[in-house]
Formats: sequence, C-alpha cells, structure tokens
Amino acid sequence: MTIITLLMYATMVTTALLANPWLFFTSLMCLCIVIGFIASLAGVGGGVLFTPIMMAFTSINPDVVRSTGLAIATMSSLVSARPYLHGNLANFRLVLVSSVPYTLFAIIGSIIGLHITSVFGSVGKSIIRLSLGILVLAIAALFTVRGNKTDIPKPPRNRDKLAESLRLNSAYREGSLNMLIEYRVVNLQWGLLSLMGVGLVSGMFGLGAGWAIVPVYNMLMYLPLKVASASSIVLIGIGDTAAMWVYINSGAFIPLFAIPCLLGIIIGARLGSRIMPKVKVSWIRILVIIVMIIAGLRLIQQSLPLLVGWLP
Amino acid sequence: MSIEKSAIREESGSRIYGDVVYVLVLVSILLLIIGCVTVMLRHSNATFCTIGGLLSGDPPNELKSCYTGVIMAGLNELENIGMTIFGSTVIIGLLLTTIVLMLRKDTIYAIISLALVAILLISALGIININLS
Repeated sequence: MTIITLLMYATMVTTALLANPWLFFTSLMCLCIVIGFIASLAGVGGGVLFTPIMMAFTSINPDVVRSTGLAIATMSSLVSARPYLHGNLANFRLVLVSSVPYTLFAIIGSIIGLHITSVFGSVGKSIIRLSLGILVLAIAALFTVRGNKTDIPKPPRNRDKLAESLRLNSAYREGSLNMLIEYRVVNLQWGLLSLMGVGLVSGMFGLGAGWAIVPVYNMLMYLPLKVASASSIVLIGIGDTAAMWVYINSGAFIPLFAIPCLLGIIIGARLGSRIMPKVKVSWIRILVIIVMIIAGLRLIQQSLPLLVGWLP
Repeated sequence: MSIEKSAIREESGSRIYGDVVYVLVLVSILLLIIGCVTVMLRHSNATFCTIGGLLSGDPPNELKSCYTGVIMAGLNELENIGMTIFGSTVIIGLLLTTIVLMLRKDTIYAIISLALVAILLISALGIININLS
C-alpha cells in the first residue's frame, strides 16, 4: 500500500510539473522511450506496457490512452513486419486466414470498450480499469510461468485437413541451423476460435496482443516459435488497424498526444534491440513483471471504490 | 507442389504487402510529426488547451474542441492527412496483395484478402461509430 501511495503522490507531482507544453511532450516522449526500451528488451510489444501504465498512473482519459495504445501496437507491427515477410519467416497465408476472425472481433471489442465508457460514464471507466487490471495481472502471471513454448514443436500425427486444403503448411530457413525447416499447421479451427477472443481483448483494452497470439500459434497450432512471433507481428498490424479506425472515427485519437508516444516507442525499441545482446534479459523480464503487477494492482485499486459504491 | 516451392511462391506475394505498408507508415508518421510541431509552434493556446484537457482527464470531444476555429482548420488538415494515410496503409497493402493473388489465380486467398479489405473499409469509413460524450 505504501508503494501505491508513493506512486499516487508521484503522479500528482508529475501532473503539476507538466504544465509547460514542451516539457510535457519531452517528458511524455522520454517515458515512451523507456517503455519501448524495456519492452524491446523483454521481448514484448510497447502497447502491452503503455496502456496499463498510462491508465494506472496518469489521469488521461482511458479512450485516448486506448486509441494511442492501439496506434503504438499497429505502428510497431507495420514497421517491423517487412523483414519477416521478406524472409518468409511469417506465414502470410496463415496471417490472412487468422486476420478475418481477429479483425472482426477487434472491431467488436473496440465498440464494446467505447460503448462502456460512453454509456456508463465514470462507472464505465472503472469497469474498464478493473477488467484491465485483472487482465494485466493475468499477463504478468503468463510471463512468469512462460508456458511450455518450444522452438520447433512436434505436431501430432493426425493431419489438419482444413489447414492442408488452405495450403497453410510451409517452410522457413533457420539461420542458426542453416537448414530449411518444414512445419505443419494443426488445430486450425481451435486456433481461429482463440484468436476471436484475443482480438476482442485487444480492441477493447487497446493492447497489442502478441503475448496471446504467440502462445496460440506456438502451443495450440504447433508453429515454430520464430514463425509464431513473426506471424503474430503481421497479424497485429492488420487487426489493430481496424480497431484503431473505430477509435479514430469516434474522435478518441489525439495526434498531439499520440505522436510523442509513437516516436518515443520507436526510439526506445531501436535502442533496446541494439543493447539487447549486452544485457541480461532475465532481469528485464522480472522488472516488466513487477511493473505490470504494480500497474494491475493500481488499476484495481482505482476502480474498486467507485464500483463498490455503485453496486446495490 | 512441395512445401518448399509453395513457401517460395508465397514469399513474392507477401513482399509487396511488407514494402507498401513500411513506406506508407513512415510517410504518415512524418506528416503527423510536421502537423503536430506546426500546431505547437504557431498555436500555443490550442496546445495548452489540449494538455490541460489531457491532464484533467477530459473526454476526447472536449479535447477536439481546442482545435476549432478557422486558423486551426488548415493546420489540422496535415494531421488529418497523416492520420488517414496511417490508417489506410493496411488497406492499400492488402488491395495490392489481392491484385497480385488474382493475377496468380490464387482465388481463395484473393477472396480472403478482399474480405479483409471490405472489413477494414467498413471500419475506416465510419459506418460503425460510437458517439463519445
């Protein structure tokens, strides 16, 4: 509780300091450089850290934060997709097939998210904060456990007829082994069903969803980890663009706020990728998990008083 | 067709998408930066108003009202163009991919790609719109 109280005071002081426009934008960009830097070192997208941190520790409207979070996820994905598509590391056919349910549900998620805040007002914002807080704690737990992700998983013997008829099985060149790795896609229908849920969450909370898409591709559909990560990046670019448009058309996208954040995340991610080989990444992962736990608890703490008072 | 050949065939199709979105995103970000810096330099009132609104948690509609007035309209155009290009990169990329897939007579994927373009267009044209108060 002491940490949370200290953070609350820090938030108030920061808010008072940021009355100067240039100082505000510089501080915002610096904060985003740090987020992008840490996210890049920890191997997660900037959006998954940006949205919870901004919603937990600033008074900025949740709709503005979520639309910017989606813009960050989209931009990071679109900028970094090129080498993966050139090297055939991303399975573009699978991305196209996955994009249909993911995009549809990302749009539905963003509509639900915006509807909750516009209809229920401050109670709606608290509902979003509480749900995001719980989700962020769950993501932190997922990062801690890490699942049983494997670099090149061995798929079950039975073949997926749907995946075969859509010619989703492919191959990629594994640089470390200097050989062509062939892989099969299985459990396509279950994978697509899971991606519906992931899209919904991504659109609703303005988060990039690599943390959920990679396990779906790798552990459920048996894609090699590198292919799963690369395909997930391309998929986020398509799906989150659609969700972002819902926020843009509703007027929730504020360029004056979004641009310093986008720039900061790009610079931070570039710095992170350069420093990555020299840093012990396990410490960074622990740091990310701690930040996510604090942000999750703060979101829950912010939302509960109003919701408890609102309930009959 | 072997998996290897199929993968190589796939690569040439996805390449176009990757290149197009990469270039368009960079162009749009550049336009957005120019737009924002111009607003900040020329109209400090609008900037103060936006920052004040952001920090006090004002809803987006009230933040947008900082941008009203004839002077702002011209400057705001640059931001709007940047935002439109940023949001349309995937649509343009997928449209070009659809053309390539059609030329290669890959009907199933051309249809899937076209369906995605349709979904994205529905979202982009504001057919689905939530009024934020």
